[in-house]
Parts: sequence; structure tokens; C-alpha cells
Amino acid sequence: MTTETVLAEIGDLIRQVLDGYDIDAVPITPDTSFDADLAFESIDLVVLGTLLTERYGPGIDLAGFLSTRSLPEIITLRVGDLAGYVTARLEHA
Amino acid sequence: MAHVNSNGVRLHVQRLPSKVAGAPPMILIHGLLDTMASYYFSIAAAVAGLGFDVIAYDLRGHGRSERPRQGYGVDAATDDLAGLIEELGVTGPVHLIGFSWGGTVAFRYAHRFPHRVASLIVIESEPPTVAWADRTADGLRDLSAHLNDPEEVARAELGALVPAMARRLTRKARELAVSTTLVEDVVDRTGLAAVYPPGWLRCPLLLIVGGESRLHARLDGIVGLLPPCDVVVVPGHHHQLLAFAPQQVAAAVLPWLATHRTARPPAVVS
Repeated sequence: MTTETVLAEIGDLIRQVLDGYDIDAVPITPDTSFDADLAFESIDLVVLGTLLTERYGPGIDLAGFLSTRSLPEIITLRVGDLAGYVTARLEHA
Repeated sequence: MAHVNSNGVRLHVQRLPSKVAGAPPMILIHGLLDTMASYYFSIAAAVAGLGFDVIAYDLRGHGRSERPRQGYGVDAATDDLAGLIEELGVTGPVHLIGFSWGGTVAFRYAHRFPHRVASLIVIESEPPTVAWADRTADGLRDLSAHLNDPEEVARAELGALVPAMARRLTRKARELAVSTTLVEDVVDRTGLAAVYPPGWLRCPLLLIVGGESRLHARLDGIVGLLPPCDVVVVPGHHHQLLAFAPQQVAAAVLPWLATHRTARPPAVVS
């Protein structure tokens, strides 16, 4: 699965998490910041993590991925970081 | 997203199931104005990897749980936890980790339901007492005085909050203060003891404290309230250990849990 495909699917999951988010208003790109652009709360990332595991299987462990990062790194997380992680995990599955 | 109705409130719950069959349940209880994310970002995955069925939830009024107007005292929070455990069908003993207020709730649960708790880890927490309620009231007053000044809140936390966290903390505090009775409920002294009788807590206990925290300055008094327990001090850190010292917390929690994973609650004494 390509990063582009994963990125598009993550965009759909983000829309589910934010429930009504206007995806055309802020296009989701690899540079989109969860905090600054999407106003993600920390709990929104938890919900996104469960959706990712449901979509891609237990090999996608967002809690494990985030626990290797400092809080400032989590706050500045971008969609591309997550897409890269998912793509890499799927390649090694 | 999973929700469970407990004690009349809809609570948001997430599980990180262990790959080990028959893994004991571990319930993670977050602090005030926080969410289960504080664990999700820090130690939850490692605890699950150790062989625990990790259950994290958002307290009432927090995260994605329902926000009723009332019911934010320590006993209501304990009832919420008891109801959650029942609704999830957990019948055996549970292990608990609580941070700050979540640890105070965990202390209360272990006191009220000693036969249900196999082990207890509290991070920057103390058991609910009259003196604790008074100190917490002072702390909430300080926070209330700076709700429109996130930078001051960050400074009051001795630099231990990044600006984005401080902004969110103050916004959540404003929302909760306006829409709920949390501020009054949390510091309600009704039913709180001044001290506890010997042997009031009978499960293995690990207390983790930041070396620069306000609680650390009173550590002897806190430990005096407790039965013999293990204490780990994380040097150079303030209150927000899960956020800013997750690796040090994991280094304290994981070996301790490894030796207490098969702990059983004390037998019920009639």
C-alpha cells in the first residue's frame, strides 16, 4: 500500500474522529498538523489510534508509536508522520 | 469508540488487550482536566506488553465521556470506577494505576473495595483526607485566579507545562467550572478522614513522586499515612510526571509490576 493511499485513508479516519469536520476546508496533506491545523485534542489521537488498529490490524500500535516520542513531538505531530509510520509497519507486516 | 454506562454516566473506554491469555486487568485512572491520553502517550503500551489487559477510561466530564452537571467528588468517582469494572464484566481482582486525582480515586477504591485490588500504583497522589481536600481547594483557587492567563498557569506549574498544554488546561478548567460542580465536589470534605487506621490499605503499593513537586516536599507526611510501601522519587521533575518523565515512570512501574503481576488481594476478614 502506498503512502498516498494510506494518507487518503487516514484523512477519512480523521473525518470520523472529528465527526463533521469539513475536509475540503483544510486539505489533509503530509504537512497538516494535528494540533495547529486540525485542532486535535489529545483524546482525539487516542480515538484515531483505535480506528487505525481496526483498519490495519494490531500491528498498528499508535500507543506504542507515541510512547517513543516526547510530548512536544506529539503536539507537533503531522499527518505525514503517521502515514509514514503506518506505511512502514504495513511493509514489515 | 467504546462507551460504557456506569453509575448513570456514559464513560469513554479503550482497551489495550494483552497478547497473553488470562492477563490480569489493569485500570488506568487519569488526573483532573486530563484524559486517558496521558497514559496512551506514555506507559499504556508498555504495561500491556508486560502482560496486562489494559483498560483506560475518561473520567466523567473529561475527554469523550459524558459531562453531567454533578457528581465529581471522590466517592462518585469511585462509584463510577466500580460501575465500570462491573459493566466490563471484570469479576476478578484488578490492578490500578492513578495519576494525581486519579491516584486519590484509586486509593479510595482500594480502601472501599480491598478484596478487589491486587496492586496499586499512584503517581503524584495522596489518599483523600481533610487536609488533602483543603490543600486541593487552595490549588484550585490558584488555578481559578489565572484561568484567563495560560502563561501564568504554566509559570505556576514551575515551567512544567508547554504553552499549548497550558492553553488547553485553562480552557478545559473554564468549561468544567462553568458547566459542572466539579470545583465544589472535588474538595468536599464529607466522609473524609483526618488520618487512616493502621492496615487500612492491604495491597502492594508503589508511590512515585517528582523530586521537585509540592507533594515531595511533604513526602514524609504522605508516607506516614500509608502502610509500608515502595517509593520512587524522580529527580528534577515536578508534578506532571506522565507528560514530562514517561521513561522514568516506566522504569519505576514496569519492574515493580513484573513482580506483582500475580498478586492477589488479601483475603476478606469477617
